[in-house]
Amino acid sequence: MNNLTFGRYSPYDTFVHRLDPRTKILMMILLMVAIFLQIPTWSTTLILSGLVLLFLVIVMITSKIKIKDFFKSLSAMWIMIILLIIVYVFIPNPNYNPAHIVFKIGTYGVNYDAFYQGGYIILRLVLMVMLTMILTSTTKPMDLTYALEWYMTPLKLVKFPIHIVAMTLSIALRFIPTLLDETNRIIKAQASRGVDYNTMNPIKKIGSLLSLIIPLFVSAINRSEELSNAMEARGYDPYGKRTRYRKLSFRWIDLIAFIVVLAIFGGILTLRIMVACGYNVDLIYWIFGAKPLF
Amino acid sequence: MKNVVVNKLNFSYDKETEVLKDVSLEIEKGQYVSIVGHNGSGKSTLGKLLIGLLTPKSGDITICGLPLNKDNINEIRSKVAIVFQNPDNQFIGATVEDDIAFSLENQNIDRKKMPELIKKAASDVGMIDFLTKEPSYLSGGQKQRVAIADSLVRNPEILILDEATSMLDPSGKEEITRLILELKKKNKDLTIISITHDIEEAYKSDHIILIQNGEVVLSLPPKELFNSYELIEKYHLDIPFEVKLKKALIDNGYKVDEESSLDELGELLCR
Repeated sequence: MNNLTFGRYSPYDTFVHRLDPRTKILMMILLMVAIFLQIPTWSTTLILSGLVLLFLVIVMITSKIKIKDFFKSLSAMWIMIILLIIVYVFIPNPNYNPAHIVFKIGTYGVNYDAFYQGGYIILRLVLMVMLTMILTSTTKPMDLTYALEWYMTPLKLVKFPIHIVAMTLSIALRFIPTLLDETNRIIKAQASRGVDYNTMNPIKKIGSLLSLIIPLFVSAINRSEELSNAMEARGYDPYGKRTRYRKLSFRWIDLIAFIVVLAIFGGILTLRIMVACGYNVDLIYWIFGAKPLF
Repeated sequence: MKNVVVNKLNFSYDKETEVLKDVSLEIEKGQYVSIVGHNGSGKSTLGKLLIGLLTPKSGDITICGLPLNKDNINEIRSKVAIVFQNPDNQFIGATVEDDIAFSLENQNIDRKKMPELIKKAASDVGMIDFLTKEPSYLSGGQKQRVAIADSLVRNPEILILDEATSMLDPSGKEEITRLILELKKKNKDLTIISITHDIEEAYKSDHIILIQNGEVVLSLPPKELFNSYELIEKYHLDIPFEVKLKKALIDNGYKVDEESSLDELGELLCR
């Protein structure tokens, strides 16, 4: 249960914390798109990804996210990273340049294009993890739901109950810690009655998990009934008119941050469009006038 | 003025067992009434009926002069507030201030007025320093205080406490009981209906209504109830500490005044 600390909100008061959650979500989407735009030649990709990485590291440091926590969250991805490398290295791909074979295992040649491809995917994954981590550890979960609600506003036109969805989301978020406590309590109660949660036997494991999940669900359903009673008694009417206590505000710091991110996104997008139009966009070539390395 | 009038109320969850049978009661404005009874006596059901969470099978409920029905329910709910048993399951907002704001949002109150109202309600229950705290950082007693603040912020005429202290530890229990008495002192017009099985808490109220097997069997001030050993034995009630102490003192030859408080009894013992 302790791995759930990944990306948990940490209450500091930094520049990134103070940004409007709506801006943060939009910036995250822009950067994700930028990361996934593929630009030919490795050196260019490496330089661009490196620049994004550098930017994100600076953001992480300024928003007081501990680099240690970041590596901790990556440790859960080790298996995935290894699997990715195995898949890329050992599955033949006709697009790999036969001249790039490093060594041969039997008749199968290991191509270093494969390492490049695998490495690039991993780099993207790491960047994505960094982005989500920055978003979730600098934004209160409730602010995220407010932002999502704001982005869903156009759906009002088709009579979509945005407010109800947002309320459901915020209650779900509110009850995560409560249900985690409950889970721990049930684990202890069942363990004291002899249920073994650390067993390696898969059939026994399923049995012991059932002894956790059923009471958890029963209690969650009971809770929901009491909660709905409490909400009703406090005058909540999902279809009635309500005012809002929290209000999001777009300020000048949001504008500055947004311009910076837009510049990064715009830069990478321009390069991609140039590639699509048939230009050679090798950065090494542009800067040093040298020939492409690979 | 009668604030709550219940007339011949019947209720059952299923066809076989009747939970409430011909319950009639009247509660004066500004009274602090305890509804006591054993588990399954129907006292919590009565609380839910009073706020319209359940619909009675027959009989009527009149609250602040308004009959409880579908048309009036929203108006009545703005006058009656209820605090439930489980502190966790009535905490709706992400933080203390958001939770108090939830009640205000439902009442369509202008957001500019909210901070002031929230601060007032929070300081009334002594939670002003915890406004930005999340529920997981609060104790059970503190969460119940917030639940009371949620109710108070709406300026109710009637406050129902549905076993609000039963899930708290002894110090939390005392905290809440003391808070209720304080609120009572500050606002003489507030009617408090406390559904409880804590006899110590009931002893501090103005009036006790005893419910057994869905019927009102007793309705009288606590002093009268606990002075009659006949009644206590008949209904298997616990005896409050103060009454026990007085009896023990009298049995040991002390002269005890009927009206003397616990502190005075303590002084008497130390003399």
